[in-house]
Amino acid sequence: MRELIPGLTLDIDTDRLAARIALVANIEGVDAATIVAALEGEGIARTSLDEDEIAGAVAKARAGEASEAVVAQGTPVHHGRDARVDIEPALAEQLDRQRAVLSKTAGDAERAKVCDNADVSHYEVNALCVVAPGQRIGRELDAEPGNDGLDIFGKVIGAREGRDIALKLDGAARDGAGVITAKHAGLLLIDPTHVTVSKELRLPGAVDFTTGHVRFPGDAEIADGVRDNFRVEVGGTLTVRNLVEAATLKSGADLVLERGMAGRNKGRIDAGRDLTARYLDSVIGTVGRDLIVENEITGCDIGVARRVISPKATMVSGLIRAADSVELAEVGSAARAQAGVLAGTSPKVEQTARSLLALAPRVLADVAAAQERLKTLRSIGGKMSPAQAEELTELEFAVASGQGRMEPIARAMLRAGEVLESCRRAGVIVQGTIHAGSKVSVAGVEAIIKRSLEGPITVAADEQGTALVRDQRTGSAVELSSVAEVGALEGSVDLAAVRAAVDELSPGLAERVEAERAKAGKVICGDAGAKIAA
Amino acid sequence: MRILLVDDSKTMRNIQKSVLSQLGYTDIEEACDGQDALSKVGAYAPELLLVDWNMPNMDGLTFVKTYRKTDKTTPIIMVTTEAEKARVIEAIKAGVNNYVVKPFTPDLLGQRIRETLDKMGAKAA
Repeated sequence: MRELIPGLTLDIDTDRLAARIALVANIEGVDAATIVAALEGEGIARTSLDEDEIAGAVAKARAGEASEAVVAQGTPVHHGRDARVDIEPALAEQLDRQRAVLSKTAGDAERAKVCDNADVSHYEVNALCVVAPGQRIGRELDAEPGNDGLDIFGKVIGAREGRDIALKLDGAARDGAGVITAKHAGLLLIDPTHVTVSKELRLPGAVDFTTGHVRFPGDAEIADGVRDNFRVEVGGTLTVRNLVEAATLKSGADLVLERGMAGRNKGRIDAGRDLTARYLDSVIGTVGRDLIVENEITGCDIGVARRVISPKATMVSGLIRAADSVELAEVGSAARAQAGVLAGTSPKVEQTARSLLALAPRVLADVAAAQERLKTLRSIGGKMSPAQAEELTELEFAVASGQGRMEPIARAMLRAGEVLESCRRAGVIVQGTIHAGSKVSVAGVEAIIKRSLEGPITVAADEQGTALVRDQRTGSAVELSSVAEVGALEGSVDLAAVRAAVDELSPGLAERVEAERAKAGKVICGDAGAKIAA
Repeated sequence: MRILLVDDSKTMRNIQKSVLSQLGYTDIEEACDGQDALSKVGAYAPELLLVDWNMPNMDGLTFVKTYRKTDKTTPIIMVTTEAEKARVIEAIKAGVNNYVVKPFTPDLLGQRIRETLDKMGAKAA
């Protein structure tokens, strides 16, 4: 604020877009023309002056009242806007939440804001912005031009023009109207020059209350761990670099736990393909292909659809069931912890075979009963009543459909039997010790080891189906029953019964199938059988 | 091909459905008597009908006579216990294209359906 003449002060805004004067009451010798001249003397453009406001202020001061007035105004500048994506409102909100979770530099407080919503469970925070194929992401908006401004001194304030941006799309497409949609499912990432739908998720922190449960259609990599009670479900491979607590993990492909998992009997895993871990403690679950553990398996209950390949790992306690072979460094412990290793067991195929074994006699009996009744009705002779005619039709159908079911059932049984036979050739290889009290199952028998056995040894059936323990160094073998209490494995299907049922349902089927395969050049044996089991 | 099964016995309809499905026909609608069938033919527009004779509310013969007033061409197979020659002739006169006497085997029903469709195809050609 500056005094131009006694009793008149001038104040100019820092942006030079407005000027104010203040007049003391009863000012003498000052009129509007004097003020205009004084303002022009300060360089203020005549065109930006408001002479009415000046006259009003002078009149008020002369009337004995101090007065103030905005006496000059410029025109503000309007800068242009760069081209941009007008994101769908729901996604924009989701992206804000995601930004904090995916930021490597965001602090805990910033991350905590993500879950600062009392309306939802912290497990259901849903912090990631995952889009579905075809989902609308937003619309591309063109750059907007700017409008120059003018300050009170008559100087042009140049406007910045909006810039066009060559927006790059990755995993997204735009139509003629600039509408952007996701080409496939994935994580939406947007910056000023890119719209990306990523098939990969890289989480820089842990899965915890800031992220909620994680569901992602592609591969995911978690830099930290997964906390208690959280769920991570991914369609591809899931890699966790730090500790997994009592959480639930599900992957469509491999599951890689670089440190391990302490499940406390509540943690669950479901790996679509291989499960690789440094250690597993008190974990329940299934593995779609191979189980590879580096150090230790303790207190777990895991079903493996193919092999256990862990030649350096100790299986201290718990139960592992594998459809194919099992290789471990050590089984059980000197403290006689309950450790069970079942090789060549395929619960699903065993269950299928058991169901078919139960179904076969029922189908045979139904057909036999229908045939018997048909015979009786046909022997009655004379004119048939409408009811008898209908019954006869139903019986004919029952016989035909029953007979029609026999061959498919027999084929399914034959296949299940072949798979189980192949499974039963799988063995348990132990590089170190199988401790006394450990349970080992191969070839449909279950054995409790009576005294500790030193490896490297293989427990497997010979060609006659007798379970043997073979010393890998010397090649010498003893019957498993000589070092263990041996009994039939509970729930194990009797393969001789399967073969007999196949023969009864469809005599000669095994030979016919073999001929069909020879013609087609296919043989089911060894690893191929194991693949079917898997 | 759209096929309408008209029979008061659900078991019999299931048998017919099973035979038709083995022949590759899966677009099938069911009616439990002649009246029910008449209420469905308009919207469903069947291309083949399998009709029982003895049914409650409206028997198969009455249905065929009524249906033929508006539709002269869609093939109809009568599936019935009525085996007397006079009855067969009565049905044919009413507009039935083929006739299956109960009891029948699934093979026989399949054969009659194929025969009927072949004849209709030949006529259309």
